[in-house]
Amino acid sequence: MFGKQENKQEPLTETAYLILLALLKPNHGYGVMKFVEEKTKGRVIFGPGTLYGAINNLQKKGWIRLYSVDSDERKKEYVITDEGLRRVNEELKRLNEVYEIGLEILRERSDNYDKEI
Amino acid sequence: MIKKFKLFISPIPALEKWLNKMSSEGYRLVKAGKIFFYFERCERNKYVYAVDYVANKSYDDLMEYENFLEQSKIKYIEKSGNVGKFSLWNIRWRPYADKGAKIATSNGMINREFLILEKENDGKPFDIYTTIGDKIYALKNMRKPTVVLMFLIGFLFLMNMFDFIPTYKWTLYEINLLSNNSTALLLVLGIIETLLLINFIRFTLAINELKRESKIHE
Repeated sequence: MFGKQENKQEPLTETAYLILLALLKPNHGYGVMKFVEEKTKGRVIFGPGTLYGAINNLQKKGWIRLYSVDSDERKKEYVITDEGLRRVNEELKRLNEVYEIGLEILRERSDNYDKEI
Repeated sequence: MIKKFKLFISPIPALEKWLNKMSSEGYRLVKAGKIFFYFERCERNKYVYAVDYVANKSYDDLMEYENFLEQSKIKYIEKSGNVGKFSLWNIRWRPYADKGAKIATSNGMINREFLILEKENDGKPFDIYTTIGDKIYALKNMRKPTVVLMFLIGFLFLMNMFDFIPTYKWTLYEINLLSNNSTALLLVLGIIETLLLINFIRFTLAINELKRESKIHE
């Protein structure tokens, strides 16, 4: 009950979700930040502390792994693992589910609203 | 190079605010000592600053983090802050640090309590932590030294109040020589404890506010 939460339905944070997507192709930290900023049109800009912590955590969990380190061990590239890919696909399903629910309910509401008018 | 003297009781966010004000007046930070800051002239508002608290990190972790910052095109300047640690020659004990970082040695974490981060100003706010969870975690880390100091000062205060002379004689011998009576010492300790308490309450209120927020937002 208080131990590790390995429940499949556990939602990912937006941060983890976006980093996993950014790492479908090998990339370094700065590349991840730029990718996310571009894809979300500037809505999500990771702070360096947040991005650093999240990359470390995902690596510890084994959802991403080190892809390459250049000769002087400065530039590190990461890539998603099979487990990471499975998690991000599950998250996509979950997001689709809540999206569909929202759409259905709000559509009903606006239909009723139109009728009232 | 311009040299400025500045002392902060609690460097975050006061230091952050001051550096950004300096930047708006056309000064760029070059180096940060314990109480002196060195600037050079630059275009107004060319850079933005944020201050990160890193005393809880181990040496390896800090090197890793600095490397990451370099890759992210963020310049960092190490800054020492002398709060809540105990020195014995070149070794410092930090009861509040993460596992493996509690003892700081001269080639490691001494004088590297803060990182001042500098980024070219792109008109967007410069936040080091951008999720509520991370903000809470960072604030909790910053609060730890205050808690340790509060216990220490509180302990000395009580020892002194009940006239347990041997304890304060070796711990605060010099202050005691200056004041020459325990009322003055009690007053000094009391003032420090109150300041620490105010700091502690400010941190705690900020953390609680974020915790409420975290129930709705990420």
